[in-house]
Amino acid sequence: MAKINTNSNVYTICYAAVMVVLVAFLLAFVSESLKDKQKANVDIDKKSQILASLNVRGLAKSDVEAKYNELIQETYVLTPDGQEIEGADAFDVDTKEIGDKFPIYLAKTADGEDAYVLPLKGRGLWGGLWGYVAVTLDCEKVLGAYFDHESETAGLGALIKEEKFQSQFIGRPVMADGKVALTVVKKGTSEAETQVDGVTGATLTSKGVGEMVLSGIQQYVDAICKGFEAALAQPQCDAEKCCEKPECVCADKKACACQDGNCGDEACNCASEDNCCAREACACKCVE
Amino acid sequence: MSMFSKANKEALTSPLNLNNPVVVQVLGICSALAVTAQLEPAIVMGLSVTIITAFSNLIISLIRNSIPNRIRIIVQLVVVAALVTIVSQVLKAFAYDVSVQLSVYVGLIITNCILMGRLEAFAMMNKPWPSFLDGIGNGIGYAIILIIVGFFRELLGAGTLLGIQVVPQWCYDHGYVNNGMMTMPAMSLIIVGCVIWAHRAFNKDLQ
Repeated sequence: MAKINTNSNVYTICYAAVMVVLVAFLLAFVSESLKDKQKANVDIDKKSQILASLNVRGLAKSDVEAKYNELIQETYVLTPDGQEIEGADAFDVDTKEIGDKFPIYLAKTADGEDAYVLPLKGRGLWGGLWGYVAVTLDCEKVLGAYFDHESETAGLGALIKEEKFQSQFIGRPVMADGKVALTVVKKGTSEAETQVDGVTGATLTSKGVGEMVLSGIQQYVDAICKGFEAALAQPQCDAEKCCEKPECVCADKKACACQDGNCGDEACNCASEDNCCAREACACKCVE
Repeated sequence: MSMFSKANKEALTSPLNLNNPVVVQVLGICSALAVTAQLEPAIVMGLSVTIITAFSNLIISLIRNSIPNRIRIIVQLVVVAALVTIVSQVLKAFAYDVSVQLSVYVGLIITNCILMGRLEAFAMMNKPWPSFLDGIGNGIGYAIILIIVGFFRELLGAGTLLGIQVVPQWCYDHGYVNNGMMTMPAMSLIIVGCVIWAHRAFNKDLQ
């Protein structure tokens, strides 16, 4: 066999092309065949992170699923306007989507207290941060917190992942003067209960966590408030006062007609309009 | 040629000491700086670099005669990157916790100068088996330095080793304070400097 000239242009180009195609197929094959297993791992991991914010930590992998189903009672997904998205599971909302969607978990903590778990996302020094903060139903007190990071420095910023840092949040008030005030400050400069000590040597990561908690929870509060306002703006059309509000569409048309002095009931043909209605349970009756 | 001839043994053991990739060849300093604030990531990083160096050395050595000279660096890079990606995918599927631990470092492995350095300097010119041994040797040589640096930084910076408290409470009660400087990246360079100093002091011929 003649020796191939490995320095020729044709050989070089062919070599590169074949190599790239082979490697691409190899990587695609590996990635595709391991996808399901990875997805399962990621789901379990996410569930154990949510459980960590409810102060359930150190569970074996196999127990996570059962505990999650036990503690998480209901989940909601809100739009930024506070409208609930029907049929959406908060668990399916990716961390990246937070801000456009607001997933909320109604859950019980390890001690059996009712809590809302709010997923948050933010930016650290090198990459993304995310976390779960469990608050009381009135959003006044933190019951637990969990934070994680993509690529913070090991031994410094990465310490936000440790329970030691996260447990500082437990029992802290969330609000001050009607606004979310919970945040992270440089160690030793904390002035209020809402200011949690940061990690020494990881100023920017700590700042990132503080910013994430502060603006993240505020976003939830804003969204929920907007939802409430929208609900209040809707006319309250209950049966008793339905007729007083012309914008309401009332089920009992007859009853409304009575109140206006007109009898809507066609069967009721009375001569005098005044006598037409006797209000007995708002049913029309002719009074002669 | 036997599996462990003198030359092969040399390939395996010389990077541990006289030809250490970090303190003598001065490769891979950047990652020594980044991952040594604690002992555990230092060990994990050392281990994964050892595995990747060994196998990329092996693969490149197997195909060394077919690689076009002008694109050899690219070929090496593709092999390393593909290997690192596969390893990280497999870890994600079968050892998720380890892969989370490694998340940052996997990317760093691709850029680790030791890999490219060894591929260029050794695997391109030697048979597969010695290349494999050379990869293992260099990986371990790198891991040793990382572990030394990680040991001192975690011990002096946080008073712990592998996350376990080793400096007893009464030391703190008597006024001992953890050296926060040790958790800063700059301190790892100074420790690496001290290691190089001690290493040279023992090996006169390197001076």
